Parts: sequence; structure tokens; C-alpha cells
Amino acid sequence: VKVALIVQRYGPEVVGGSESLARHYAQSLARSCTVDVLTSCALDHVTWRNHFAPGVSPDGSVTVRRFPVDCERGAYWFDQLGRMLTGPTTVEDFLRYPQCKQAAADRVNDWPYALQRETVRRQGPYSSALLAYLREHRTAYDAFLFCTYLYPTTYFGMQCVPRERILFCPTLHDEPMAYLPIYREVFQRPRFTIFLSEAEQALAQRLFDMHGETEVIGMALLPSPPVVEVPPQTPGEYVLNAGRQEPAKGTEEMIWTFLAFKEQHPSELKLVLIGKEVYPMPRHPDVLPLGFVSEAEKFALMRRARAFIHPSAFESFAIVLLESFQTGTPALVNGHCAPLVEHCSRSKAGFAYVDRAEFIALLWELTTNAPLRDAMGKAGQEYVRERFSPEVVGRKLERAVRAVATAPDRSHRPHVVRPQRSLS
Amino acid sequence: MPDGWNYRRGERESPRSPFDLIEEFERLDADVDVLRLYQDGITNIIFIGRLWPLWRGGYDLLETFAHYHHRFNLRSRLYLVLPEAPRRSGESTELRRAIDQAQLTDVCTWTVAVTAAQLKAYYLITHAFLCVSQYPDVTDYLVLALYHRTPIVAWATAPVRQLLGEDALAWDEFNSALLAQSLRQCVEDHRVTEYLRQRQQARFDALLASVQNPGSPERDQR
Repeated sequence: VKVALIVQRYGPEVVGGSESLARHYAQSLARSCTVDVLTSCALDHVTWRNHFAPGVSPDGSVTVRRFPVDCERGAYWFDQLGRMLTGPTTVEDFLRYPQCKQAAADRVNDWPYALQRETVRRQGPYSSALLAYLREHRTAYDAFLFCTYLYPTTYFGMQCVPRERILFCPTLHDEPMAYLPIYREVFQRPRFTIFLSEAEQALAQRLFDMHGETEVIGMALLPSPPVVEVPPQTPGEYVLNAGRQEPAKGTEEMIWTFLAFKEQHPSELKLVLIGKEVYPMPRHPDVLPLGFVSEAEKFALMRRARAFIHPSAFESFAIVLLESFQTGTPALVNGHCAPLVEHCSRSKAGFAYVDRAEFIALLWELTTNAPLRDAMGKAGQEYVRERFSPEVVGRKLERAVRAVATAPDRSHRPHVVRPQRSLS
Repeated sequence: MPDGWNYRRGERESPRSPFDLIEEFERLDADVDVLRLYQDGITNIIFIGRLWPLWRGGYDLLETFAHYHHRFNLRSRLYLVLPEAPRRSGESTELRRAIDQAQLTDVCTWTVAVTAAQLKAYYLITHAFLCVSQYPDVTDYLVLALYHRTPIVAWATAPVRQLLGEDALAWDEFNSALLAQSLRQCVEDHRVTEYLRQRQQARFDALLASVQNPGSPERDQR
């Protein structure tokens, strides 16, 4: 079976949840299939500036084909199209109030198709070379696995290949962009759609009138790397956050809330941040940004943390949350993010907060109640072992690929996108 | 096309195919002032093309839009994007008077000499292209509408029919009530919009293939 996996960015250097997932799927499938990854030359997800050389390179047994991005993302998208899309609604209001979601949906519902298409295209990374390759090789692959619904690599790419051969892993979040009606096409076209959680699947069913088969598959977690020492500057008592540090991930709000916690409960506890600081974050002696650390150090830090904090509202899976469960560390997560809440409630290994007062109360409980922390830690390890082992996920993924690869070719039939449904 | 026009002389300086402009559109940022002004929830109908010296088409166009606006959708407006500035002083006065007579003073605006960025922005904010024109060069702007998947409602003169075939709401006879009803259908009924979009997309793809590969089967079919 020959599989093309299409994703916006790819490589071990790329930091991002859906990109990590794509790489993991590619390598998992490469055990039984021939896998080509078709991706852009971008490394930076803000500008999509071409970084890698175009052409073919190996990534283990996976062949990576990179194509240049046509134009970078800049002020035209951030200050105009993106702002028209979100309107006056803040991220917090969007998450907190159903009326704001309805307003977001209403605002874009009547956007002309051309404007929606321009918004997706200029969000980037748009590569006409990648699309030309897909058109040229539309019959050369048995399955096309598109990762991430949001980007033009998926929206325009899907139009270049037979829909019977499309496998789709949307990594859908409840965010303003998801309410653009143009994405109905993306969700209605595939033969088979892979979800990472039941919450993501439910959101997709609510927003889009989906066709085709679906299955919640998730992502496999590899065994923790060998135990190493934590970085020397690590404090004695700390809670941990890992990932890109940017407003969209809720990092800044988390820092302010943690400092409010410290005011109420003075102690030696620190907040340790690991990962890239995409936007400048507030500085305080109780907040220690350690930057990039190795995989082994990340796990060592997780293992020793009192709790792992995941403040992002826009997640479809949250690999780092499950990694913290894997190390036996319980978590405190943003209660506005359904997949995070789902992991916590199913595993009983985490608490979800919806406001500052809850954050403070739950963090106090987690950092002071050792027996509770131990019980939650064990529950988290069990949850990961049962659901996200490489064998379980690999089997499901392979079955999905074979379902698409062996589907009868019905590409001569016209594809009709169903009209939109009201949110209510 | 806008950038190829000498507005002083009112003629094309160097012939450009609409496909040249499409290539430019793909790189170009749309004019943000136009984008910002007209994203207010009102249905935008557009006509791009020549109105004079055969002024009769202008009356037909305004009559059609007036029918649509007054009967079906008071939250709509019409943009006339005219590549040629009026050559006689009386022409713009006549257009203004016709707009007033049709009681469209507040909902019909016209502009000439738009830049490519402005033209792109007009296409982006448009819910339907209303084509009532006797000039064959209107087909250039219809190609751009096909590219943008903008639903087209047209009085199908011979060149328009040749371009669009059956892939748009195009009528062989001029009938303002019928055209207005067609506008209503393609703006309000999402199934019609979706159907038209898919037909127009296929039409554009075939057209593009025929331009890229002259002599291809797509070209012969046309």
C-alpha cells in the first residue's frame, strides 16, 4: 500500500501537536506501507517562511517531499482577514459564552465563498508546487492522509485527489476559524476520518454534516525515555507547563493566575515553563522559563513536578498532557477545552478549571494532598497504557488506511456538498 | 482589464487575458479599505464591465437590481465597477439620474478606474455577479467571476452563453423579473449557491485546461 501523508510542516525540528502527530503516523504506517510525506519548506508556523530546501529527503523509512511556499503570511492576514474573522470577540469570550460562538458563526455564515477561500489560502502555507504534484500523482497512491483541517495544504489538496482515497485527521479545535462554512467541504469529502478524542468527533458532527466512516484512534505514546537528571536550574518544588508559549495557548493567563495563587498561598513553589517562547511572557522570580530541553529532560521534569498545567483552550488531543500522565503526574487543565476535560474525566488523573478561583483551589489541592496526587498519578498511567499504546493505535491506523486503499473507485460520481445546518 | 486600460484615452493599452490577472490576483493583497467597508452583513451584488456608449444596458441592469432590491432584499446593494471613465460629460449625469429614478440612490454606487487590488477586493466581497451587458468584453470579467466561484446571474448574449454554457443562471431573453428572481435564488438558497459554485468551478477548470493545452478535448467541447 502506498500512502501520501500531507501536512503543513514536517520534521523532528518542527514543534507542534498536529505536526508531531503526522510524523508519528508516518513512522507508524511506514512499518507496513510505503509512505511519502508531502509538505512545505516552512519551519515557522507564524510566517511560513521557506526554511528547508525543496526536494526529497529521508526521515527513517519515510520519504519526505518538500515544496516551496508561494507567499509568507503577514499583516494582510493577521491585521485584515484574521481580524475580520474574529471580529470584536476575544478568545476568552468566545470560549466562555455560547452567544459569542453563535455570533462568530453568524459573522462568517454569509461571507462570499471567494472571501472564505482567500482567508484559507492566505492563512498559508499555500504551495502551488505541492498541489501540482498532487494533481500529477493523483493515481500514484492508494491513500492520501491529510493532517489538520485548517490549512490550505488540506483544503486545496483534497480537491486534487480522488475523494475515495482520502483519509483525514482533522485535529479540530473549537475556534473561530472552524465556523467558516467552507470547511464543510473538507469534512464531507473524505472516505474515512480519524479523530483523536470523542470530544473532537462530537464537535465535528455538530459543526459539519459529515459523510464517510469515522473512528477515534488517537495517538500512540512511546515508552518514557531512560531516567536522567533534571536540568541543574530546576527548583525543588514546582508545577510544570510544556509547549509553545503564546497567548493562543493560554500561557500568559496561566502565569498571572499562578502568581495570584502564590499571593494567596505563599510557598517555595515555582512555575517551570519548557518550550519555545513564541511571544514575550511576563517575568517574575516565581516563574522559570527553561527554554528547550531534551526529551529525556522533559520526562524527568514531568516526573518530579507536583502537577502538570495545561492552560490551552485549543487542543484536539494534547500529547504533553498524556505524557505527564505517563510519568505519573496529575494535571490541571483548561475546562473550556473539551478534549482535555475528556482525558481528565476518563482517566481520573486531572482536574479542570474554568476560572481563576477554581484554578487556585484545585492547584492548592493538588500540591498539598500527596495521597490524592499518588492515586491520580497511578490512574493516569493506567489510562495511557490501556488506550494509547503503539500496538493499539498502530492497528487501528492500519485498518483505516486499508479501508481507504481498498475502497472501490467511484470518482466518476459528482461530489455534492450538503448545505449548511444551523448551529442550533 | 483595469491595469491594461488607458483611462485618459479609454482604450486598452496592451491586451491582457483574464488569466494574466488571475495570476496577479493570487499574489496580490486585496484592497483592505474595500474589504473593511463592505463586510457589514449586506448582500453585495456586482456588475463589472462597460455601460456606455450603448447606455441601454445600464437601464436594464438598474431595472433588474431595483426589482431584486425592492421586492426581495432591502438589505442589498449594487456596485457598478466600470473600467472606462465616461468620455462625455453627460454620461455620468445620465447614470446618476437613472440610479435616482430607480430609487437606488443609497444602495447603488459606481466607481471607475479601479486598481487590481481594488478589483480583487470587489470580487471577494461579492455575493453574486449580475451581468446585463451587450459588450462582448464582459466575458473577461465573467472569467474572473468563475475563478472566484462567484455565482453568476446573466442575460446570455451570444458571447456570454458561449463562455458560461449551462453552468450559470443565464437566460437568453432579457427579463428583469426573471433575472431578479434568479438573483434571489442564488443568494438565499444555499443549495443553489453550492450547485452553481460546483458547476462554475468545473467550467473554470475546463476553460483553464483549454487555455493551457490548446487542442485538448476540453477545448473542442467548448
